Amino acid sequence: MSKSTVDHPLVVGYLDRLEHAAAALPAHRRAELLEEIRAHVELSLPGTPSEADVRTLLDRVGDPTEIVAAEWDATPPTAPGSGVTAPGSTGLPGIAPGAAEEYAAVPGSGGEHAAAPGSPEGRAVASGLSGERAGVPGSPEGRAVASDPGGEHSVGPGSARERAGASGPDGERAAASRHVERESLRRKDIVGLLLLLAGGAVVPPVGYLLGTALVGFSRRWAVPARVVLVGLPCAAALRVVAEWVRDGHWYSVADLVVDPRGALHDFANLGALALPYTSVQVALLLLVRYVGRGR
Amino acid sequence: MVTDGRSPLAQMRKGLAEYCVLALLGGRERYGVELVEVLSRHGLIAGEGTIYPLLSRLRRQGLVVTTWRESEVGPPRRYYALSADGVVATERFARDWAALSESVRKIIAGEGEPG
Repeated sequence: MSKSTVDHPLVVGYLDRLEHAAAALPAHRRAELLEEIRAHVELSLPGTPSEADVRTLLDRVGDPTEIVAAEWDATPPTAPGSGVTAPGSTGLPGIAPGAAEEYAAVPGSGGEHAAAPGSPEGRAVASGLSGERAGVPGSPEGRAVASDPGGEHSVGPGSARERAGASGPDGERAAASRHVERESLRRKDIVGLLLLLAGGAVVPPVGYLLGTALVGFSRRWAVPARVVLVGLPCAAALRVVAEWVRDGHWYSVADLVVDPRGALHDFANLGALALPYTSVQVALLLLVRYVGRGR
Repeated sequence: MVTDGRSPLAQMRKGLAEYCVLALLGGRERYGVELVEVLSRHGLIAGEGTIYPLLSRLRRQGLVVTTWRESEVGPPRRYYALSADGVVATERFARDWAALSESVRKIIAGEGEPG
């Protein structure tokens, strides 16, 4: 077979520049984007293109920095006061980049549904899949959270922030937080909620504390919601545990070794005991998100 | 064509492009280059390459699903189709957009206030 059009030096140079511009993207998304653009060029160019054909096409495809900038466009549709959109009265929650999220009906329904027939693209998608599974979503917010378990990080790269408009950094930050709160729950958040729900039965108090950490540091909930619905219940639970420990009602690691079945039985009992409280907690956490999305 | 990517109009176009993609996929499944052709013709997209970040976002949001197909010529193509959520989002947008564009039209025509 003859050399592919994507081997043209101009295309190779272009893809190099794109790869460089995309350096800050998650690796799986960077690889996928490069394959998408490579395939686009290959499909759009005639069999033996002239240099002018190649230049014209690359011009149409756009500057690499522009394409990468579009990756970051999941930032808040508009900063407060920038006057681009007027949501609310029309029921149209914002016509701007990322606005489609408002219409995503089912939280956590995202994901890849691709099956690739042995192509390089396929490999890129496969690595994308594992990336998603590892909880490294492609959005800039996702990256910020992934690289900062504290979760109070501001939105991704400077370029995205600059686009957020003319309001002050606090306004942008607040808008970014609201935006993240409306995003679908990630696997991590779901696991966190499940651990909160059943945490009493999962090596108490480790499971519950882990759930507290996962949800407590998740930017999918507003800070006040996390303080009231995660922080306070956790403090109450720890207080109860402390009392039981003091009164000698709490198990020790030795119990697990000596009588693992009995210990598991006790865990299940504790889980059942805690369930009415934890289910109210989880229900309220879901409710505030539902109410928050309607804003 | 689309000029300054940061102008309000360009921002609106970008946001609308997402729904136009969903609407186009409502008709039938398509691959990236097909979508780009239509959007470019209507001036709804600046760089053709920016369609892929947009499609990636729609995929992450679960509004579109993709399948790979071998092609007689060239590399395998990734086809995009609406998911069930995508159908709901598209229908809702069509309603909201009809209401919004009618409101804007009235205001521009000076019919925005009661008699």
